[in-house]
Amino acid sequence: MRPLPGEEARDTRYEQRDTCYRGERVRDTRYEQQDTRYAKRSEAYLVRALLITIITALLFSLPSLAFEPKSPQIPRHKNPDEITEEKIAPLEFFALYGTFMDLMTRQNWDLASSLLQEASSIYIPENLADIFDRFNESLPEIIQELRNTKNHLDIATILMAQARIDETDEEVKKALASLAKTGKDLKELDTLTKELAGAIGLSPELIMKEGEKLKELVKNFYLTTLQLNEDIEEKNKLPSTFLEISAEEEELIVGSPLKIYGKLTEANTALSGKDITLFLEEERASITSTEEDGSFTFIIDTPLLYKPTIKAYTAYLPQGEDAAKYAPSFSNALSLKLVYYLPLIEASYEEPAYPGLPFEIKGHLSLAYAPLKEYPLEVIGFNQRLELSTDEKGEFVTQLAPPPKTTLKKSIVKISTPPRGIIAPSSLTLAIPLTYKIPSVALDTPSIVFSAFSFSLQGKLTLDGQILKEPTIKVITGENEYSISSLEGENFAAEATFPLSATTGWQNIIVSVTPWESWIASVTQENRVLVINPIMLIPFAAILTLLVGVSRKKKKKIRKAEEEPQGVLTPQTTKKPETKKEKLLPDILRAYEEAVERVSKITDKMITPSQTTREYSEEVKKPLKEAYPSFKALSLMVEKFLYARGLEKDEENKFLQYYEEFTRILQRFDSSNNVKQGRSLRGTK
Amino acid sequence: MKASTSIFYGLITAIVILFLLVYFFPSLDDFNLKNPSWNGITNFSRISKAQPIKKIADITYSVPLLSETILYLIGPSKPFTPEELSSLTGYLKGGGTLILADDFGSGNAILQELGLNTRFSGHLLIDPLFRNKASTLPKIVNLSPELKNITALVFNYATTLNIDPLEIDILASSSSYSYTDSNLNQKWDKEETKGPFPVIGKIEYGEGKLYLISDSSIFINSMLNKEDNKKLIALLTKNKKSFIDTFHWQEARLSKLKSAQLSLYQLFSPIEARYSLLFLFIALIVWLRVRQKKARASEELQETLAEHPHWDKEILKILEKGREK
Repeated sequence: MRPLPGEEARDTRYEQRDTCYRGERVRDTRYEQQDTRYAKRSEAYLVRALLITIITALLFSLPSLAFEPKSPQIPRHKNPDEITEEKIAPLEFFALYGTFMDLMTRQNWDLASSLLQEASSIYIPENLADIFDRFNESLPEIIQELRNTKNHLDIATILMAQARIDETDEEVKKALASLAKTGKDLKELDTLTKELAGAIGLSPELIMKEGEKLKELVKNFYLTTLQLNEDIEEKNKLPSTFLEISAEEEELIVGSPLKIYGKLTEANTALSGKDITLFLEEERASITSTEEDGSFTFIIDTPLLYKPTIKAYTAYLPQGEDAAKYAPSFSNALSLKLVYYLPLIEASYEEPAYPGLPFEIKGHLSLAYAPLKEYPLEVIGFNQRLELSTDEKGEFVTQLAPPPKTTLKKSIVKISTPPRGIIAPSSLTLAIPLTYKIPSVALDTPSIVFSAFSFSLQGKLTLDGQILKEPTIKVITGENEYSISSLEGENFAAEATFPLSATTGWQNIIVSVTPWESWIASVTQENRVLVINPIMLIPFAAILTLLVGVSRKKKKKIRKAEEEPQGVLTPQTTKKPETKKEKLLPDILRAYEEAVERVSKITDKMITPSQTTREYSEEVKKPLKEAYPSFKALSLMVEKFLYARGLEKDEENKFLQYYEEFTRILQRFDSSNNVKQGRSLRGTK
Repeated sequence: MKASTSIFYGLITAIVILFLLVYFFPSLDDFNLKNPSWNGITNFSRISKAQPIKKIADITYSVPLLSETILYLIGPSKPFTPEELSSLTGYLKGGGTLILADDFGSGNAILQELGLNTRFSGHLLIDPLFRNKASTLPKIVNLSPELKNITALVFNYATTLNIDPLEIDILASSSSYSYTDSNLNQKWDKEETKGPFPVIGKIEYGEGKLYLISDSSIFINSMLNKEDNKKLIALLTKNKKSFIDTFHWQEARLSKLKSAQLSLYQLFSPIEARYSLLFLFIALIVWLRVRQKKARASEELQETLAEHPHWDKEILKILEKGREK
């Protein structure tokens, strides 16, 4: 089929247009790609700028954080882990060693031991620790052995003076054994000293020189033992004497006469005119001389010793020429029973005692169930010493006051009686507990208080029904402190305020009571109250005001909106005078609405909310036929009216022309429709 | 996003990072309670349970009986104000126990204010024999029975006490081998004094007690485990409520920032401040959202107008408002 004239040209135009559109699409895609590239490049640039800013800011600020305050000339301290280990100071070490040796030579064992103990605190580097430990371990042994040697020699000398030859011999042997061990230890010490001196950089000769002093001492000890041995040998060569004693009574009342008899012989021959010494409890008690028959008698008063038994013996210690003739001798030892009376002290006190508060101690003194009348007593305790005596009933009473400022929980009080002839001394020890009276504080405070606003508090101070005399009462509320000067009986009251700096929350009201009486303890009572800072209410008030304001504004808006006439396309009205366009608005739109209504009736197609006027006109193009051009013109003009700058005067006229034309066509439309409808109705009939 | 906005956000991020660094990086200051390093006193703080205070008056507000308290003044280096000195005097007279551990700091100002003749000598104590690793770490072994259960203490760059025997009880002395190193050559010179020197002393002052320790470093982390240094804290503190002065130390910038951070935190810790901050935060968010919304609408409007220059701006605004509804 050949195309109609003009159709070919139109097709060509369409093709050209399509080609153009295709070209435009390609260009659009290119632009989009370019835009994406630009966007990406821009994003990268911004991220880089962000990072550079962060790094620059940190680089500038971080070094300043490392700023340290200027350190003083002498540092306050250095890190011990970083301090270089110093070598041992040889001269100081030598001085210490010298002091030690000096003390040893002067036989001052205790000081030497404590110096050695102290020396264990000197710093020894790790590499010298082993040798130093061995050195330090050997020295206490040497001290101990030398101390033992000295003791044995001293005892041996005393025993020799007492002519106790066998015992002297034993002690000398022990001294020799100790000396032998010391000699061995000193040899080992020599080796260690040389080793240590080399390690710490000291001349071994110098340090050995100090050791020589000690060797000299050992040598002296050895010479003493030799001397003692010689003396023992000499004494052993002398003829031995024999001494025997007995007592008249073996049970004695203290202070009563004591008679001891005895005899001194030498190979069954009585020795006359020789001095015999009596020892009671190892104390020299008396001296007497032997008779012609070698007998002797001691009559002395039994010593006032209050113990169950005492030991008595006699000794013959030859003096002058006799020393070279006879060997000394000791008698048998007698065990003598002593008789005496022990008084009984009974005491009581009111428990417990309070610091600074005097308390009474009562008691009774008896002897064999009978009261000990007007007998002296001594009471010692709490840094006091009291002398008193019993009454006719053997009773006593006194007062003691513990010191007011004491930290002790218990104190010892001793009650004692002196000896008096047959009556032995007696004592009683009491452990007296010390405590404080604790007052109770009851506080009545409000539950809620406001910072910076004063409030009153009441309190009650009680102590076993007793009223405290002018105690110091402090009330602490945060940073504020109040003193209460007066009490009304047991009650006190105060006006207090929490400072404005006190923040909202639970806080304590502290009441501290310090009584002047030393026997009453200080107490503290704390009451919790809720403190509300008025400043806190400001943000709440602000939020509340804001919320009320916003809610009111909303309500006002809603009310206004309800009062205004509603319309589908009616724009929001303002209080401004209406413009020409605004005046026209309802007419044009109403006209268009009518037109749309009529079109929808004819075409059965309603305008949807998502459709534009232009789209709707396109949709009803076919059913409207010849009415379409005028309806389309109306749609475009309404569109311009709504979304552009309104309509010009000539455009308004044109709108009216189009509207009239549209109405006219529709009337024709309606009449022809009615004819068709009439025909069909008739046909139906 | 514009470049200026990017820089602004960069600065904000840097500030936040710095803030976090300051918060998490521990202080390295001498005697700092939060410094876990060798020169801090975190361990001392843990053992003594000392409560840090900025002013002496703080003690009286929290404890009614001063005799049950102990205040540590360790290595003060900042000067004391007349008010502080007067508070310290009052504290001692009221029965408090003050431990003044100092060497080359400002401790002598307190002794002067208290009218005492005893002073920290300010000369470096050296002990070549009774010591730790070095002679600047002297070991104190001459201790009075009052310091029971303590056999030795180790000091670190300590000084000595110039005492008035009538006012002080000596509790510890250096060894007879020690000397004061005036010219800091760590060698004994003829003009330098030889020991023993008093290094710990006790002065009864009013109702209270003043303990002087001629070394500020005895309680630092690296020294606390040396010999019986730790025992000394327990012996001095006993069952008393302990406090430590934190205001008289020189601070590095990091610590100052940390203090500022803490102050800021404390400023906002009261409930009223927290609520105010919350309120401001909410208000800021609301304001930002409104602003953002407006900016977006304005952007959209501008774009529409650019596309359709003949359209009415006012109408578009009305339509936009209608759409929001």
